[in-house]
Amino acid sequence: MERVRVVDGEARLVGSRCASCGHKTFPRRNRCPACRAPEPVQETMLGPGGTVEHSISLYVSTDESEAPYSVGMIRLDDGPTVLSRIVGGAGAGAQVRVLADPESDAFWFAPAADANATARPHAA
Amino acid sequence: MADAGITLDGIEVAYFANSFGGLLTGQESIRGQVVLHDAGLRGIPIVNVENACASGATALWAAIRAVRSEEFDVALAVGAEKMFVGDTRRTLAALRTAADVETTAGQGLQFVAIYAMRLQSYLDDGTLSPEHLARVTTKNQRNGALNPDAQFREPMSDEEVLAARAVAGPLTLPMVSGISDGAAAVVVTGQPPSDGVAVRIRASTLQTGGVDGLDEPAVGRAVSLAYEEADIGPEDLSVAEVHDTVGPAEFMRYVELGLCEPAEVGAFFDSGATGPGGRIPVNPSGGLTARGHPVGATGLAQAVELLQQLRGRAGDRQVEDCRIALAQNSGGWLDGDSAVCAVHVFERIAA
Repeated sequence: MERVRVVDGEARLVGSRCASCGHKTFPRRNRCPACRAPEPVQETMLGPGGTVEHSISLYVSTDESEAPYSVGMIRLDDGPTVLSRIVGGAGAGAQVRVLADPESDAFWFAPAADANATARPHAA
Repeated sequence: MADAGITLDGIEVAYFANSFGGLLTGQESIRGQVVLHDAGLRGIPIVNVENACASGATALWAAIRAVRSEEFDVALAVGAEKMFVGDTRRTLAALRTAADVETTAGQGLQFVAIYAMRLQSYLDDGTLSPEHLARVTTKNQRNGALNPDAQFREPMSDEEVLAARAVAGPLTLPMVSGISDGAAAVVVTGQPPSDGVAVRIRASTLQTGGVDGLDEPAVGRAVSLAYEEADIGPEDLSVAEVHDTVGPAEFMRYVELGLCEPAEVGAFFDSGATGPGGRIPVNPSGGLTARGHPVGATGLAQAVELLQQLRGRAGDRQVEDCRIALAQNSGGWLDGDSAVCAVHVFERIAA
């Protein structure tokens, strides 16, 4: 599944939008989960902006995440909520923007104010 | 078999619960047949059940339906999990797959992160203190110390729990369920024993997680439907075993079971209601953090504990006047909700 795409030099999340009710999802779905309209949903680009609703630091490394690292629930300005790694320190209420590496289909969020933030989270 | 008073030949159908055998041992497709063949079961229908951390209760749910349909008189629900494979990272990686992996790939240990975030918000709004997180953990450790089948049987002090290695946000290592090997089994029959005490299944519900937050969360739905089916309310429960993947998740379960209001979870716990001798002891087995969390066996281990309690066979951890018991077993992660939740209600009946 293609989760991210770079549009005009800016990372976006690949979601869907229902033509009938307008409900947006991430990731992209084939049918609208809200109204279950028979028509296929339309692909739409989500982000880059969002607000951190919750975030937490994790101190245990896994096969793909070297500790310590942060994970948060981010409410996209477009609506959907996304669980994601966060770099650069952004607690609840912070404005963040999505960054992505389309080659590995990876995405993460960084403080919106930090225009230079591009460092992807450290993988194990 | 001995506890049920039957022999292997009395089993007519078996449901085998396991979640990570494929990833951790390489055994796929016929795990139940492999294990139960070795145990001596021959020829009867065997159904493999995989439903994340709720696999065990799902096997029980299916076994109950086999008997309720009257196609079978005696059904076996058995769960087993082998999680120690000499490589903790491999086990953690397997646990991480109980989610939509396309959505969550690369985002870390999301289960622990989500529980930690929810509990952090309880701390932030003053509903709970860090000491609460430790005290519910040590409450269950002390319960586990009385359970000969528990994995961790040495209680720590609250201070030791708080000072232990941090895992996620406010959660320390003893607050998080560990890696376990274990198995549990329940025999379901429409023919109660002619002597002694039998247990009736008053409710058996299985629900799937909501999508995009559009539905009520799965745990709440499974609990409501179980109360409805059993025609009881939370005030009727004598004891409960709940799914505490991280020990302090027990606080969320109090709310989901309707035992108290969200803002009152700290005070409810402080009252001793859920400890030994309390109004409704919760996790007398020690729960997932002390009894252990062999994923595919957990739901059945909860049921076994409650069957022992209802029949007055729980030894030093026996809940007094135990009549109605509830088990809540959930698992997986899907679109911001538990992917699966099963709830069972059991009642003691005199033969």
